[in-house]
Amino acid sequence: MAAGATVLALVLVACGGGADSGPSGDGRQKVTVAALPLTDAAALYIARDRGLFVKEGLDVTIQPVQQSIQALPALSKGQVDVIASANYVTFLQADEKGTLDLRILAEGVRTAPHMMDVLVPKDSPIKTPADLKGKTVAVNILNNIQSLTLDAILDQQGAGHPVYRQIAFPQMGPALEKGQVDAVHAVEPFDSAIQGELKTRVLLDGGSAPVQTLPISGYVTTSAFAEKHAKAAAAFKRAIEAASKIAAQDPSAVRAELPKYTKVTEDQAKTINLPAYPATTDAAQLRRLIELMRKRGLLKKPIDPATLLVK
Amino acid sequence: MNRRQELALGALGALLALGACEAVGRAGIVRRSYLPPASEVLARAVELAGDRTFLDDVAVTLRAWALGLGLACAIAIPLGLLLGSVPVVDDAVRAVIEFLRPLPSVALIPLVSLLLGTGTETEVTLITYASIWPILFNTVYGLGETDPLAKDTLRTFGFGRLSILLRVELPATAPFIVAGLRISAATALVLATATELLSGFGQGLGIFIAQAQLATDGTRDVLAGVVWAGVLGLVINGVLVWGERRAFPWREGARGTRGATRAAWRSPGGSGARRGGSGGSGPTASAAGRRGGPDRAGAHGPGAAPPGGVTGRPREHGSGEAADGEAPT
Amino acid sequence: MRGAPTHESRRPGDHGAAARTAHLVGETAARTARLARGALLRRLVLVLALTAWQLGARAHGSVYFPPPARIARHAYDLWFSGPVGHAFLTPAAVDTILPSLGRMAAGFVLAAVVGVGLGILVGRSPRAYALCDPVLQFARALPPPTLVPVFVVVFDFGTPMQLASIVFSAIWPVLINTAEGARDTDPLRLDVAAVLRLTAVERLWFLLLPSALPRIFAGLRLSLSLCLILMVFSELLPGTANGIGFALTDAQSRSDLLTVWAVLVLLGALGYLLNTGLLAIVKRLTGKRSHERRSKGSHKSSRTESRKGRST
Repeated sequence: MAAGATVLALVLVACGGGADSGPSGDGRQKVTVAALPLTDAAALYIARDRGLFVKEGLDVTIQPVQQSIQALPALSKGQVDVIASANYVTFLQADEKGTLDLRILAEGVRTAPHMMDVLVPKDSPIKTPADLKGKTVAVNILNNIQSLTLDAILDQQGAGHPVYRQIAFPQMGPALEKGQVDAVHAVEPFDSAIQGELKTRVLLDGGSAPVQTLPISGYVTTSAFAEKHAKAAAAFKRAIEAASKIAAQDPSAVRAELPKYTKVTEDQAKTINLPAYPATTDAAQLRRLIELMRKRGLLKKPIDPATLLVK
Repeated sequence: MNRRQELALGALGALLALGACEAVGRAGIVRRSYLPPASEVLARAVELAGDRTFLDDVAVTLRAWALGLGLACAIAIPLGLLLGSVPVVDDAVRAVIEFLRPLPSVALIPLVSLLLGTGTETEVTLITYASIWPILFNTVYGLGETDPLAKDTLRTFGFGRLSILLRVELPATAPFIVAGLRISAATALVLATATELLSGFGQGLGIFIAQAQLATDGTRDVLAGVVWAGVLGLVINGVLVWGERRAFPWREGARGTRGATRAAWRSPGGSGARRGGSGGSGPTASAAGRRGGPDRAGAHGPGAAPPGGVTGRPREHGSGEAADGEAPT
Repeated sequence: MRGAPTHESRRPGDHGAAARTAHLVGETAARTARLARGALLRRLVLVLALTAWQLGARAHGSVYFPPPARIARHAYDLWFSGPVGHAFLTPAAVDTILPSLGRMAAGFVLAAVVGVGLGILVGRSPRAYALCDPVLQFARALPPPTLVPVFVVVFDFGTPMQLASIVFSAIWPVLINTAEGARDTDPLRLDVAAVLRLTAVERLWFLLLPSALPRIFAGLRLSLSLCLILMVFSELLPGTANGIGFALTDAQSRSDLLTVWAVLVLLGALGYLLNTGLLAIVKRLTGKRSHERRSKGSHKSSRTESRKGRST
């Protein structure tokens, strides 16, 4: 029954169209990008709004997505060409398991001070990171970048590990208020939002050593796209890197951009802590991340990030 | 109690429920941003009716729903006719069906979306998969309920197997198929929205809700979207019930159909329960007569409307009973 | 049914008890043979289907379609390679399968109890039914995952929230079916009950419940299959730490397709077992009835019955 339905649907797919990454009407190359409404994708929107894509001869369409994993099927089927703010951990695992042939176009963000924090209620008995041992900490996705970095930080300080619970960012506030978890690991803008709404205290900076300036997310595509549209891929990379340079040098550009594509208000945008926007893609930094993943068993095969980079 | 009184009472019930939600929302038990009061949610829902992008989203969901349902019918009805007519095939395929049926289609989302990408194809596949079972089982069940007298009569007149199928069994089964369709339609809509919500990428009502869920203050939008989902389900159910009444008026009978109760006693295996299983078929029969239940009339004649013997209206929710309880979603 | 006296007495050319007995024996033998053949055919088709799947998957070699043998082995490694004392369940299985089953069972029982209770209340009076009907139909149409914000606020994270989400969606088939069943109680019997001056409780126990029982069972079966799905849904809720649905999404986010398939097979098997189990219980409770599919014989006997009814 399922097989029959699948066959029929596959026929539908064959009849229907995929993404069109061909040249658009005015000769510009069309590129579809899936992006999260988070600070990670700011460079993408800066590039769009400052005409950097047009300058490179690209016609970029942006589609919102909530978690980069949700856009993975679309990417592997060619329904989108690029995923912005793609979670490296998830995509490296997909590459390892063979569901995706990954290529990294450009880096997106790296950790910066207080772009994500471990928050506890103000009157919590947890005073130092060592107190986190055995306590429950809420993270957005289990066994992903947040637990990875937090465990690394705690290891560096010789503290024990907490127990992780998966709670989406918007629900972390209610969870903390009701005492369902002892601490939350929140990323901006939820970090500031929770601090503004509840009486909380920052226990730990999520970007402290040894995970400072660690790559978190970036712009990924498939090898199919990178090979078939090599020129467009290179042009996209250049545009993003130029935009990231602007973002790095002029944070106000990012703060002005945020209210346009996220639900962050202008007031919030002025005060939240931004991540680091690297202007070039550095394989060495990616190697740090991969090493960390391998140490924690999130990755089995040794992947050399240099092979994944698009020139 | 006539239809108008029923509707009035129904409206009253809805208002009471709304009032309760409003009271809870305004009582300040929970933070306003976490759970807005009902009036705000409703206001937002009405506001969304004028939002072009939102209406486009709803259209996408409805289109996937219709496609999925149509595909399910196209597969389930012929298959059901085949299974109901040829016992050998039915026996053979049963085992496979029994294993496939309980699989929740929500669990298939990861796999199917990896195969088909995100978008209408995945949604339609999952909706079709889930919608097939009620229609299939109701078709098979309905075939079994056909008045054998009618079939025998046509056979003595020399009509072939296929002719009998098309002239007698198909029209007799039609009410059951439509009942199965009604059950599938409701669950298909729920599934369409849920699939979109869980896959999180693309267009649709579920996507709207998913995106609102991620906003720091999006609960109002989420609940407004949920209201829309519920209302759509109500409307679709109402339309289908009305259509069913119009298409098969003899099935309706009185509000509490005698046949339904009696039919409910019937096990999937046979009509044996009619043998007084419900206790005192005498008085019940006359009660049915008093109520003007047309179900009894069917026992008299072959082929004439209503076909199907003493079965009552195919039960709205219990048709699954004959079908050994399908997994709707 | 075949071999029932009424049926027998109408057959032409039947003479004497000996002939009747021989006929009975012959019919029973034929029926047994038919049943055995059916069972054999079913098994055969199942085996064929599995073989086709295995060969096809091996030939295709795609990462999305691992062969069933691999899936089975992976499932065995994950869940069933434990010590004998634990019924062969590994610690991972104990952590994954048992909490899920527990939640599902608790949710089902709760939905059944509350559903039947409320259903009887609503069904007893046509006014109450008309009052509640639109609200019930509306609540029924709400997709379970959309209510997360509401549950998050009202309930505690973890099991209370999961139970609530299961019960909230699983209750409707039971409730609506019970209400309809109660509504359909034969008015003549209600009159008799009034004449006999039965108390409300007696009326409930002896009249309403039994007459609604078939519908209730139908609703319970629907609810049980719903519970399986809802269990998966509920484990997508925030604060979940274990469970089958959780294992599914965790495997998905790690792109671990083999585990995804293993979970799917597990869910299918569980659903099948639960369905069969409940069916067996229901059949036990509603008395011994034939489990065969409708046969011509039973149709004839029903016609006999209706003819008898008309002549009454």
